[in-house]
Amino acid sequence: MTAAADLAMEHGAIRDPAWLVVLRYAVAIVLCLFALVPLYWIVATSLKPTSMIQDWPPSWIPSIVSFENYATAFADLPIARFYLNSAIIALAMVASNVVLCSIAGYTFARKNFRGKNVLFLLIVGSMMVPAAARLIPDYVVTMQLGMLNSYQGIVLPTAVTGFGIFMMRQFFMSLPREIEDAARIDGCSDWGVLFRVVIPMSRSAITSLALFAMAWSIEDVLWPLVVISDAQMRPLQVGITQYLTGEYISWGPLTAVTVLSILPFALVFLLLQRYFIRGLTAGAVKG
Amino acid sequence: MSSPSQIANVSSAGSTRKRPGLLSSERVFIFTTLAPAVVLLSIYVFFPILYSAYLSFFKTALFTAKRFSGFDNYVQVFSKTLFWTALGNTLVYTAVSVVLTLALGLLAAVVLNGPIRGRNAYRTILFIPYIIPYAAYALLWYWLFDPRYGLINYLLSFVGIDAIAWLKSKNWVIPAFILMGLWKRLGFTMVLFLAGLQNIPAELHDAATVDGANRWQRFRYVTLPVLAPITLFSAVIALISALQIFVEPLVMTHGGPGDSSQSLGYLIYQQGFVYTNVGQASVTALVLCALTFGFTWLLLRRFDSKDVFG
Repeated sequence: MTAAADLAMEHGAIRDPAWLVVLRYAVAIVLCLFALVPLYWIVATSLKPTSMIQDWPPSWIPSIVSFENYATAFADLPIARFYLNSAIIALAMVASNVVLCSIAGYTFARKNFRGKNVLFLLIVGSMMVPAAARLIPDYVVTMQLGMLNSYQGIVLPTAVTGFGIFMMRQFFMSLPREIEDAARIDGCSDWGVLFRVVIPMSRSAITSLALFAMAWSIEDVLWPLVVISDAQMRPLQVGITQYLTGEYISWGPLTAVTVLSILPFALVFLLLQRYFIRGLTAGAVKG
Repeated sequence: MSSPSQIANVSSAGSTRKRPGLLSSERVFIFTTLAPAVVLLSIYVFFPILYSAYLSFFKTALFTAKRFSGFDNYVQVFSKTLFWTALGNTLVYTAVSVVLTLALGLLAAVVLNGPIRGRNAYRTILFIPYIIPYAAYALLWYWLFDPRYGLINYLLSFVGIDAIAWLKSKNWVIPAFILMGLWKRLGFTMVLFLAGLQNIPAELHDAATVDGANRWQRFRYVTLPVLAPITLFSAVIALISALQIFVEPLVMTHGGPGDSSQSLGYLIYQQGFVYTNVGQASVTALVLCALTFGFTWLLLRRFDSKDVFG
């Protein structure tokens, strides 16, 4: 198996003592249970018939598996349209963050110009502006630009992020400069160096940023809820709010919509995670 | 030994070259790469803050300034105990949750960077909570913390711990928020640390081993120093998101019981949308910004800012 060979390579001939191996698995399993049990609970609940959801003691495995809640969600909401909206928003958010944060991050990592440090501090500072403080003015701006009820209206406030620029800059700074210099001597322009040399070396960092941007596009509920009043334009995660009316919460359909809204993204994550997990800095040539 | 920070320092030192002409291709490059980011951030992040600063000096009607009122809003906000309670809660929540998130995130990264079967599966599982939509996250935990039907008390009953009121208890509501926040952000912090760990050349550990360093010494004197820049970065990110805590009180407790789970983020929302006093909301928003800025600044100053700002 290649994975096993990989592990053997990384750790050379030094054998770990048994207690360390046991401890390692114990920690990994405990942490994963912590993450998994609530996730499992969402999925299990979404598959229980309504009558069983508030049983006590709760059943770990639904004795009857029912898709009733999914049927309800599909009947109540235009799920296909919501998926389309979510996909468009996620793609736009990923594309704009990857492109804009990479080029800006590169300039901060490699170029010198007057006011660079102040500008960079401002950009890092932009991460510190609380979402609650931005909500009202951003709404006013979006309204003035005539972008309520539009994809642009949802995407633009986070189309470029201080986090992304900061992260890409940290990554680019860890790349060895010699390769870029060599390309320049070979006659590459700044753009050539960036797109033909630096970006191809940065696949892991870019994948990480892309997945973070995708995560942002589905985790936030408040902003799309405020900007979109046309039900057809809502992303899937806003559909959750449909099942929150006052004190009464329809747990069944609510968990079903939650599962539906994270499922495709979890799959994308699984597909891309081998790049992602290699880490933000794995693209660097070891110096 | 070449730590990332040293590489970074060398590269920025090497970039002082001859200044080319006014409209040189390099200037065009710099301008073009930065303009989109600067324009978007100005419109959606910097303008809102300036606008808040402006509104904080006015009596407001809905979202617009009506009449200049000097420091009236400030006096109004600071004279209420509610503000100080919210501030205290926010600080306690932030301190505990940042420390726990970093410690467990580092632990997870170190363990899952080692030789362990199925580590990609573990890493994926730990990251998934981060992409759960906020509304679903808050509701899910609302249910898990339910004093009578909740999973948490059910699990505790197996180890003989009596039911805890969690969100309905003044003492337990903040620990409950800390626990659920840890659940959501642990995987994200782990990913940042993993990236840093993979930056450590294996030769470094080998050399230390040859020199007779034991496991703990290798971790303490090789791993941790190389991780310093990424730790700082993770700490700043964790700090920023913890200070903003908002969804939990909004969806789960409305700041209660009493005012025991009031936070600055939630107070901004209440002042702005419930009492429609945007002037006062702006004051609180500015305080939260100043806190975030101040703490981040302290962190960067305290832990060798060179690592971050090259």
